Amino acid sequence: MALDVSMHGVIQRRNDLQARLWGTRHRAMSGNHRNATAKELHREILRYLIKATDQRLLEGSQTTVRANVKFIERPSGFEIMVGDVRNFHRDPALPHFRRKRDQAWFDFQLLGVKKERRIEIEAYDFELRLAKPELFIRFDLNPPGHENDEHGLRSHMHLDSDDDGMAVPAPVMSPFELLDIMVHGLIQTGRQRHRGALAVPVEPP
Amino acid sequence: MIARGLGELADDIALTSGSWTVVVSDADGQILDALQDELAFAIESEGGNAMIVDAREGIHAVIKALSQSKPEDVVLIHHMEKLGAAAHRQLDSARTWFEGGARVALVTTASALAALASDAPHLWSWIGSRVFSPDPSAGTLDVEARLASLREGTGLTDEEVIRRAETGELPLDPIYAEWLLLLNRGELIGS
Repeated sequence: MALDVSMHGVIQRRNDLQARLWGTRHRAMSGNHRNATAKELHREILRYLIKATDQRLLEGSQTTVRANVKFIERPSGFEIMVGDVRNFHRDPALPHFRRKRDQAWFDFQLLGVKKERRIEIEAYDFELRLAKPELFIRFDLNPPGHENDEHGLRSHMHLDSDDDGMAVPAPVMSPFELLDIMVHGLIQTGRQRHRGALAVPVEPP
Repeated sequence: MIARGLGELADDIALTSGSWTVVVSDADGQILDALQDELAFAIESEGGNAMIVDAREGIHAVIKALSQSKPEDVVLIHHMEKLGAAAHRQLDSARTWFEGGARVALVTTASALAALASDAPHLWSWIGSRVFSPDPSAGTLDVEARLASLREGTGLTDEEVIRRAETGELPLDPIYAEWLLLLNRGELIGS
């Protein structure tokens, strides 16, 4: 099989991958019975975060979750986000959620459209900032459009760099799969596979 | 009297077990329905009900509803301003029956507040500072602040973003999709 290893071939394969990723998206992205409206999706996200605070996974309480997660609806669509302003500079003084176990903190925004009797999530970004090591990971889903075909990275991930060249494809995930990563993901265990079976485990921070 | 957003007010009522609260509202059915909805959400993990009782049915109906409620419930009694002094005094006398029971919100008008306080002094002291007015706009997204952060973060203006969207020059990024939505130009997303 002759493979095209130029960027043309790469972009073609990336677009095929994006089509598969979009095709396997969770039904919560397209509004199932429970999340059929934007308001219901907002409530479901609140429930997740409230339970996470109740179970002491996150700092805060029902009251702070309600205060921090904002919702806006327009005729064309809706958005659910953390805080009144977008945190471009990663300022911890702005509203966010913080993990109790390791002080990693995160925020997010997701945007969707309203279709007949359901909603569809069309764009999001969820960013987790670790305290130790100090780095961030962000999962982005760009809004739909032909420009996505030019780079084949509609659903992608940034690992500690905002440079578009440093993005790699990522699964299209539901808000709850993403929140699972924000709340439970990227937790250091001290185990390092490459150190071998007899290696002394490194103490997690 | 403190103004509270509906979600915050619902939490305030729901998270204080056995509380009695006065909600000052000029009998706006839409606000009442929205508050009931927020209360139902606030207490759903407890398995309780957020019920509305109309005081125009008389003090006996109000007392009966309170008697039948459970500690995990919230009872919203509206049109309290329709009850007269005698009914207020009956409620004042009966209040201890409901101690430790459902959380109760008495919805009345601003003009009837003084009469309630005067006719039911023991109940009033029980309520204390828990007198709120619902503000549906409080706690909602500050759209202008959000837009200002987008302008500051990107160096662009609203007009420039719209122009670029219309000419197909706007990058496909969640930031700009959000911006267009907030400007009520969601039809330009992905154009």
